[in-house]
Amino acid sequence: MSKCITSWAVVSAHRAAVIGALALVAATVSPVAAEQQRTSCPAGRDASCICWTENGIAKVSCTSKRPAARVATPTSPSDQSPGHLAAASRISKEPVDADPPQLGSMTDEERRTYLQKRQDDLDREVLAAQRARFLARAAGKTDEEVEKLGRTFKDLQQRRHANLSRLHALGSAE
Amino acid sequence: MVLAIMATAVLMTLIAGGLIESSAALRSTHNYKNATQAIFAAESGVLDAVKTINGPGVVNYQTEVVDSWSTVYGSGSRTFATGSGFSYSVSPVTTAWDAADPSNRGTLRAMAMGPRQTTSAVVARVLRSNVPGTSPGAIYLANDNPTDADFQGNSFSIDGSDMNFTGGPGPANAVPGIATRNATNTEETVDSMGGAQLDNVTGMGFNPGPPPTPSVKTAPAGMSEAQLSQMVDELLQRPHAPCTDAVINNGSSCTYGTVEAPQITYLSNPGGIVVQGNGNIDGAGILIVEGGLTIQGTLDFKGLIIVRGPTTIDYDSETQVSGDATLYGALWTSDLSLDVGGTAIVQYSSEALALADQSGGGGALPAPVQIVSLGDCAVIPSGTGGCP
Repeated sequence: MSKCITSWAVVSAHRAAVIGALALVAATVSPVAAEQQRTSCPAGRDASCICWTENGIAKVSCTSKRPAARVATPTSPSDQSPGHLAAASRISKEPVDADPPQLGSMTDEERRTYLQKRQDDLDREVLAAQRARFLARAAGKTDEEVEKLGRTFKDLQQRRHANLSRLHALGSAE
Repeated sequence: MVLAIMATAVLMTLIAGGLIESSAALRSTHNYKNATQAIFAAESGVLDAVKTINGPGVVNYQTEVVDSWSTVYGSGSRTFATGSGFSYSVSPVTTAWDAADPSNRGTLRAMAMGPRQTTSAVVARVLRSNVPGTSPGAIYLANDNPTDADFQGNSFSIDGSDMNFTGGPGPANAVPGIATRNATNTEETVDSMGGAQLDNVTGMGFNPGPPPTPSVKTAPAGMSEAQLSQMVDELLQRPHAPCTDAVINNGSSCTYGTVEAPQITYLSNPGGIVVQGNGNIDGAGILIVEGGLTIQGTLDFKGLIIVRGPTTIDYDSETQVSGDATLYGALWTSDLSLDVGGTAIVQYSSEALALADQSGGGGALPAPVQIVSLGDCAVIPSGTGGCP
């Protein structure tokens, strides 16, 4: 009997300790009142994005997802599906010579950051398209397929140069 | 008294005889030990020489090893190990066996010298392997002098992981993305890369970090410039497709081989070659370029490219086209410059290097030699089999 009472006491003490610890953690983690303030999004953000600051930290939430910036390197000809070059196609659909629409309202510094980021993306995408074209040729894909990949590559290359020229104009090209 | 003296004399004689006997036995044991150690030292000499030969590998044993022994290994003696008292020397000798196929066969004789004038000799028959050696790196900067590598922009990928040009990973171990001849050039190459470029050079030893550690290594056993030059001379003795154009453009009629029929192509203009914006090199096998290679157009190649000069990938300001180079295999060049305008992929590929090896009648790439027999000259009749 006394053993039973002792075990009950130990279990109860343990439960109480766990509940207390959880309460302490919850009190520490959850802010009493998070200070939120809506702000305008930096130029270059998608129109669906909402930006705000929370306790001084900038936050952003977008409803439409942007394609991944990094394009996976194809490891086999079968990897060269149109989906593989999805990001490349997105950029390909933009006019080559026109400034990206987001640039208009940016400061020079924002513009430089934006263009540099875009340049990095384009570098990766050009290399992915170049490799895809090479592997397609090596794998004996049809001329039509190779030509299509070649067009994508050339198009991306032009965009890359156009972007590079803009960066040069800002005096910050690598 | 007389008996006592005689007994003492006999005893002394016996003792003296015993001492002489034991001393002789001891000396004999020492000699046996020294002779055994001398054989080991001589065998080690053979292994040392084979390791030195296999650093760069061999295309033609006769010209690259036998005729160049003084630069490849040297005829002087080498100390076996500090304090051991042994030394050895190795030299190529000619026997009836290797005279039958001097390009692929050879005999090495190692002489070991030790304490108490102990000498030993062993002879080893070596045979060039059919399996080509690997490249020191996806890019090998075969330059003993200081290099001046230049990486502009972020549009390049140099990867020492083995990948097939037909898709998927290859069977070989990874090699460094860039290999150099010495630590100074390795440091210079790494220092030439900025933060965003460090993860563009992958392969053996790459660490994604942060910060990333690029795969740039020293390969002192790789070919020296002189050895590379000799290898090129060897390759040009084989069937090859010459091209004398200084500029490769859409009017160029040179051919560069195919996967089905890889070839050795020789771009011989001494001042170097420029692949212009509308020019295109698409081929397989081995591409040898004199003077330097500037790519402002397109280069798609599977195999080995050897450039006796710098390789530059940049932008053709006239045609407004940037150079794009895709190479599966390896690039051996004396220096490298990647301009911000160009894009470059250099991917190590043992599958593509096999195409290079098939070029020019086969066995075109340097391959290691293997020891096929080892003999102790103590049991071989003097003057036969390469023994003294």
